[in-house]
Amino acid sequence: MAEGLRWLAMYLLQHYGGWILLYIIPIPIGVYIAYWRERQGESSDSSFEYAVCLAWPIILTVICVVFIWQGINFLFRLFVRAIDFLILISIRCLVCSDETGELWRAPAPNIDLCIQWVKVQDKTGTHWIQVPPNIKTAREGVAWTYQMKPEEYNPNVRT
Amino acid sequence: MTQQYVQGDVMFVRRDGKSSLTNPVKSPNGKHILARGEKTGHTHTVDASAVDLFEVATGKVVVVKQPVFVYHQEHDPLELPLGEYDVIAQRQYTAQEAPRRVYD
Repeated sequence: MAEGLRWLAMYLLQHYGGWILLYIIPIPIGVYIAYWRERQGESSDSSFEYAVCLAWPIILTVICVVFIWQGINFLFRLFVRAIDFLILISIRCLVCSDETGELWRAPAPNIDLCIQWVKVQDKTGTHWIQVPPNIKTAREGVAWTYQMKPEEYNPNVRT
Repeated sequence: MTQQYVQGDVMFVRRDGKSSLTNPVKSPNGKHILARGEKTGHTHTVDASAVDLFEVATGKVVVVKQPVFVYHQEHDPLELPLGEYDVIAQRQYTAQEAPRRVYD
């Protein structure tokens, strides 16, 4: 029984940790701020603040449901993806460089989960093109984008 | 080694010999659009009088009857000599689905 509960707790934490934090963390912080303001004499009656804090899980649920219902949950996705993107570009590192371009990788514990790009330049600018995680060289990556093997990729003209 | 000509996100790979191609693409305005940008609206175009364009299972094949330039709004014109070429659009990897086309 205890083992099952521990497993369930670990599962919930691993898969829904972010949501759990989002639901729970604001409550003690809000209660503490309301209490502190009351103690400092900045607020004579903090019952409204307490009520908001304690009702936070319900408020958050309603906000999410309304957002999804109104079709504006894409803002959440946009926000999360922007954070993902910033993390990715901050941790990516150069793996290989050759005459075709550069291979960059955002590392991950499992090689299958790492994200790789080839960085190629042409007259129109610099382009980052994502390639599979098993790619080892920039040539292999650029050739893959044109559905070729590395040894086959040899453009005569490039504009 | 096959001859390869690259204009941005599109590659033309010369085919060996001549193949029997069916399913020609008609051009409504004297130009063939070989590839089109998704957001920018930019196109890789050729003069339809100089080439024949065919749809095949793997994509498009362009048969150059007389030397022709491929034009794009941002890239320099690309000259294609006589011959048959596979038109290969550049792709990129996505973890969740099949590789997507690259659009410049």
